[in-house]
Amino acid sequence: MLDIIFSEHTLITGLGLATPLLFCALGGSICSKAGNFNIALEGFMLIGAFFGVVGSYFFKSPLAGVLLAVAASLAASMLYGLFLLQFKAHEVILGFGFNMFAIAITGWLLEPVFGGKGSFYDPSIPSLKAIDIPVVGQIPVLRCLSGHNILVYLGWASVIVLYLLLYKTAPGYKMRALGENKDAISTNGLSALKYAYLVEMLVGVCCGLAGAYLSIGGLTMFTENMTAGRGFIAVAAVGFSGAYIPLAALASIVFGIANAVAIQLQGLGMPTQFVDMIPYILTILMLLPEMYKHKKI
Amino acid sequence: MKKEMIQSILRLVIALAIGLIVSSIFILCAGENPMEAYAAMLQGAFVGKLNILTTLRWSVPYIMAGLASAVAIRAGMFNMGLEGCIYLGGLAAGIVGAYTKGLPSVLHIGLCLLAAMLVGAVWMYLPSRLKAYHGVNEVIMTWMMSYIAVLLCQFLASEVFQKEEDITSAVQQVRTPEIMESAKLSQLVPPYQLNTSFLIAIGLCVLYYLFANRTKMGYEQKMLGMAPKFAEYGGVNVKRMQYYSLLFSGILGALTGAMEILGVHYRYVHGFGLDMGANGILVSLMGRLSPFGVPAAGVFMGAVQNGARAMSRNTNVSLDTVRILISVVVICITAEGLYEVLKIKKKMREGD
Repeated sequence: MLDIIFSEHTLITGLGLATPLLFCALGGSICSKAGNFNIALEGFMLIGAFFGVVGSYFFKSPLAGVLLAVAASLAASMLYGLFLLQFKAHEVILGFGFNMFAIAITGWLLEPVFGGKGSFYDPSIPSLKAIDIPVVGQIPVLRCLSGHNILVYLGWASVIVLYLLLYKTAPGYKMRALGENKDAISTNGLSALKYAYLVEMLVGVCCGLAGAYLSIGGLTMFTENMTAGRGFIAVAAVGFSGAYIPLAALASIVFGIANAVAIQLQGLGMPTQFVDMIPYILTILMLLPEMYKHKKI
Repeated sequence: MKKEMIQSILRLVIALAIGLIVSSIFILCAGENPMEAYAAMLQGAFVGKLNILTTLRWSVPYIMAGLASAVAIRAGMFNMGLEGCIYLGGLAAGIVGAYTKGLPSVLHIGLCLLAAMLVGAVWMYLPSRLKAYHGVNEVIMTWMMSYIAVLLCQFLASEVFQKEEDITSAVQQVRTPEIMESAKLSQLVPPYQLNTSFLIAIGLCVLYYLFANRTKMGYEQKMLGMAPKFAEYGGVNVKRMQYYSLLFSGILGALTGAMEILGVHYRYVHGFGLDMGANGILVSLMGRLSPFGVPAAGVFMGAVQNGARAMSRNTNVSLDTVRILISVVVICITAEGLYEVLKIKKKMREGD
């Protein structure tokens, strides 16, 4: 029984489950550092997921799916940026509205585009192919790192790239300054708005990739509200890590693996509803360390 | 005061106008005339005794959920888990209503509502406590709790309380046994669904008015929501205020669900509270948290929902279009900038 739960298979599933969270947590961390508590990650991801399937279906290429997913999510995040930065909408309510909007619009589009209600599944749509890493694939245990699709590797690479961008380059420094003290940017003669939009662009791209992974990463399918709270799990991971990118990445990977272990419990006769609850309970657990942070102050 | 009110109404009108324009585009894409669709919606909401009474019937849960949300937002917090509370309250009322026997009607209904309120309070205890005394983010916490609550209700209703004879092939629903006659809220104008829960909702609005405008606590709560630092220096017990605000939001949420079950469904039916929490949050925002605004916005939301059903029956427009309309209104409603943009344009025009 225990060897089923802690098998290499579970680890592989876990790394797969972690990928959308990883992308979202990266985007969320950047937002958080730039002083935006963004809860619309979920909505961007859902829009990305929908257009991933659309791209892959109409252009017969998963790459087109990924590109379209990123473009759609980017468009959504820019719209979010417009309302947040220029129309001065309330952060939480705006994010909440965007998530509602994403569910409504993808549900609405499902019928005219694919001609069905609730969900769409077609095995003929090309999905992203798994790529084996030559040497790693031979080593026991480590071979779990091999055999994923391109987005998983891209996710790991983004951790490093975004970390360097945010902490080692001038634009990254300015983006972080945005969260520390917005006026400092303006007094230095820089456009705070420009950097704030740059942040929203980055989060749009990240969430688009997360959505693409969900819809065309393995099975090619889209179901209404398929993100099912993953965006909030990412927001919790950001809070847990204090928006420090490496820690946020680690949190989402650990979360993915924990979730994969939990899914195995279904085979042991636990009711489905309780298995479905596990990610949400894990998320709440992830919020709890915040308690101690606040006590210190 | 009067100018403020005109401004807030103007903001609401702008948000609604943008929502209507956006949803018109979607209606056009579906190959229908938006004007005809909206006419069908208005007719479905207000023309005829049946439609008016049904609109009022639907406004009850939205007024209640709006009050629940308003109590939290007034103190500067968001109860995103309203939907979970609604389901839990409904289940609690449905079970107490079905399994306690031989009580006089008033006592029985009171017991059901009390059970729901208790369950709502217990459910919101943890997030309220953690938010108020430990600073844990309530937005994510309550939202996650909501998912858990809905799944828990589904499990309890289908695996524990569902009876063999209630499972019919015709109705593919998870539902518990029917409640006793004594637990049913009586209909105001039989055979229409509008029932005494409408009066309870109005009564709670009056209580909310008294609390918000006539008590020290209500004033302190408003202060906390508008200027937390100021409230703290002014001697408001911030932690206690946050704790009770969130807790009461959960209690009112549970009461919403209970009244739906006792007044309309007469048994717990899984899925009865779909989107009610989210719409409740919108109602509280549209009503600007005011004791008069919230019921007005609740009736408006009831009309939209009731009219939308008529619209999707009579035209080719799907219910998702209404969800788009509602979400666009949520996006626009706090956007002060939209209002400013229009105001500047008006000034420029006046200057010409």
